[in-house]
Amino acid sequence: MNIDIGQFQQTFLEEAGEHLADLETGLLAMEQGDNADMNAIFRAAHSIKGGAATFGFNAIADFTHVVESVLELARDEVIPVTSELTTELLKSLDIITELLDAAKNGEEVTPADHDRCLEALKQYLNTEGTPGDAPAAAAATAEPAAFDAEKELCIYSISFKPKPFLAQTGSDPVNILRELIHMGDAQVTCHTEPLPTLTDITPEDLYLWWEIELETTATDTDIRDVFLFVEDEADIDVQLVAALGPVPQAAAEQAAQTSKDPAEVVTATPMQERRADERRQSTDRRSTAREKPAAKENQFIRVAIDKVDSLLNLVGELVTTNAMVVQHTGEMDLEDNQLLSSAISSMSGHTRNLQEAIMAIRMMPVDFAFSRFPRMVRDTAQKLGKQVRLETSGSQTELDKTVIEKISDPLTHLVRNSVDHGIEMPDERAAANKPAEGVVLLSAFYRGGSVIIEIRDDGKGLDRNKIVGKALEKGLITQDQAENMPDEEVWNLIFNSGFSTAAEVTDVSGRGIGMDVVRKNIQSLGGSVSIRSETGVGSCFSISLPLTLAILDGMAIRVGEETFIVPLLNILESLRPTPDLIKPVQNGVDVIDFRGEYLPLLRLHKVLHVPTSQTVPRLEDGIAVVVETEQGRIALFVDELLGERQVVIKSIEQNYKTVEGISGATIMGDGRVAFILDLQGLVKLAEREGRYRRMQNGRGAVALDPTPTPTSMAAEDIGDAGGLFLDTEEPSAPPVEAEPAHEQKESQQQEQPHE
Amino acid sequence: MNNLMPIDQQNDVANLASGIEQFLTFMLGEELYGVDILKVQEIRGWSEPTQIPNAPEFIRGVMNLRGAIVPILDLRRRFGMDETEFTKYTVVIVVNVQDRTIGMIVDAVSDVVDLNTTDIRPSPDFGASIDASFIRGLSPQEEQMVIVLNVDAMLQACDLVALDQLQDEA
Repeated sequence: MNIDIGQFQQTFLEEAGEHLADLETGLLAMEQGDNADMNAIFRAAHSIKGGAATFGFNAIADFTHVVESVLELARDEVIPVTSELTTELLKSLDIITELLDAAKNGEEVTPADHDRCLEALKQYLNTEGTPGDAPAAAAATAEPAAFDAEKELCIYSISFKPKPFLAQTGSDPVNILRELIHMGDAQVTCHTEPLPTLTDITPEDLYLWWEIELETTATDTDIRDVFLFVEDEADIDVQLVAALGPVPQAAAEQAAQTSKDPAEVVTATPMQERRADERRQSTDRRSTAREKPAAKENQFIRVAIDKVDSLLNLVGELVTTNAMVVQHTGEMDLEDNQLLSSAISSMSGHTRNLQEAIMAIRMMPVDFAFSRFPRMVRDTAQKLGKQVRLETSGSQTELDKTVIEKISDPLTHLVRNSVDHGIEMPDERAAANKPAEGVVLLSAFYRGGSVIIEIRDDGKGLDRNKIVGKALEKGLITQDQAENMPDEEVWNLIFNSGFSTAAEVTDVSGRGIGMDVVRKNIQSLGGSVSIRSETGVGSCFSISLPLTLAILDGMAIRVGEETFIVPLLNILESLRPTPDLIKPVQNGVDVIDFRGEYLPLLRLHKVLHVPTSQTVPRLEDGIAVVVETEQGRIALFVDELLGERQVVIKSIEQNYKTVEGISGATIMGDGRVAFILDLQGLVKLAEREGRYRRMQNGRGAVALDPTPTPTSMAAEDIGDAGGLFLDTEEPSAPPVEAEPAHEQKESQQQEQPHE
Repeated sequence: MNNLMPIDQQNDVANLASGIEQFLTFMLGEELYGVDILKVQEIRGWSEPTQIPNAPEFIRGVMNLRGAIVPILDLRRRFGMDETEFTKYTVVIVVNVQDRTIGMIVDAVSDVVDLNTTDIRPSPDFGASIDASFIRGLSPQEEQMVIVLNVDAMLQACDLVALDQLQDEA
């Protein structure tokens, strides 16, 4: 009967993490006086304890046992649920987490706080002892010492009829019987009547049932607790037969002592024990680390993420192949073959559904990221002496697993900031006629193809003067700009690195790193962040994220013969650049008049060095795509818009290396590779080549001379060649059309001898 | 193409013992080159790849190899040879080096040959055009010399695969 418990250990360790999260949630609810989830808390604590004991993590089992005992006292209101108690219990969860982490790595450590926390918890256990008010404690701790001085001695008649599949859930009826026997003086009768003849026995099934007459000081609830994990798989009936009245402690302890030795009782029912032994063997064989009811197990399977990813990759292939089939058959005349064309269209539908279904596998509720915040907000608020309540909404909104993992840190930063900088001290709030308790609202919802996560607080809002003052001090803006800047732009200043308005560096935040990292992290996920704020009312940070990292909504554009994808999220609008909109300015950088805002015009074929022979010769034949980048808005000049595409993102780095200005690649319907543009990188690349000059504050509109640059220059150019040249930065260069393609390329290469 | 099937393991062991290795030979200009067949993943027909912006000239671009983005190296350009028209014999040899997949454009594939590693002689200096470190050596094969390529070194020099430990330290 040798089973490899290694794999179960792993499962246990993983599940224990989830149980801990449940515990934390439950504890915080308990502090709020919400006892609804009490059973869930116990199940979680009990599962950790039981699992740890089964797999030999005794340190975890022992420690959790104490935690569970304290919890029991709190539930039965033997000890009051104070803030201190909750803090202590939360700390104990940290210690269990540490112990679990150590167990995962096969190490044995004693966390720093272990002994102190254990002592503190035991204090609670000891204060419980006022006579008569804690009947529950006994069973919880299952230690003879916990039996109380005076208790009601009762006789119960218990009937325990397990369903045939009980053993398959990993529960062992013998353990339950043992636990009952521990509680007092028990007479166990085993009913063997349902037992079929040997030939009809299914070895995995359970046929026996038991009647137990139990003389104990424990309560009805305690007895039912023993059946906590099997209540769905068995018919359990507990009847009070007689109350014998209070017993002196000595007698109670004696009762406990005599019943202590299970063997003694067991010998009274040898038949039961023998059967139980057989049963145990069959249970052991498929013993799993899980103690959850079978019904729950069936609903989830654990799958390695790379299996899902390879599925996703394959379906991406299928989507591409499908598009190829559609394209090629589209070129054929299918009039005579209705069947084929309807088959193709239904194949397209199925392929799309398949893709969506597989994407859905990677989706997780955003709750996985949210769940850590109640604890964090509580701790942070306590540390700062503030009163803050965290509310969440839309925690079932689903996001790609990778996005959730990567958004956790930025979110933590923002939530902490809200508590630290947003919410005022209670007396300040009182002075402002606000309730003393501040509220941080964390919400997630879908908007279009994105998920929006908002962190909203009802604090004092951002301080415009403070931010402007700081920005002036750091030389980020000029005095002139400071006065005219719209609020929205002022708020965005806090995303600059080294920007912190906190008067002093606190333990919690204010080290001046953070907001820039927050924005960078969000952008690296293809998302964006914006701020709304109103003085005295509060502020709101709004993060917009793509649903998944594997697929991108993009606009396909053509430059020369190449196709590129611009992330749709970045695109504000596209327009046909008429000559009067283009203002060539000094340093050879053109700007385009975008509704009064002057934006630098970046010629994509120049920056990317795409052969220009096919590129449209005149600006007004192409399209300017206005995009939002980290460095402000810019206009990209491209030949043609090909339309929106949903593309599967492929890595270039896997077989090549990072290409500046390119964030990834995708495969188009014709099987060719198209690159996805990285606008930030593109701007940097252009900047280095002198094709783009960063405006003083990253905003073209503010930095440029308010008097419009004379348009005569552009007009001259048009006069010369019937259109505005692409190469206005090289006035000496001959017109594009007049130049053979390869020479043009050479001249381009000469332009950049620095490379 | 059948020659490209994975070699029978027994055969492999026997070959190792005797110092015999198999090489895929290909033509580049007038010369016959050889690559270790264990590095070769497959041979593809030529199709125009997508150009990589601002990439070195000898990187022709990337192509879609069953969903993977594979860079294509133009060996003629890399070796400073004259460019020729692509013909129906022009193929891309896809090699696997250090977990990376890279395609190399050659004029034509020739054969799979057994070469005795002890017969591979150090190469003379080719001058500046071909880095001597790309060449593992020369081996006589019937009428012609096979220039045995050191694919790892060549791809490292092209910055296509990471430098190995030894060169990092140097």
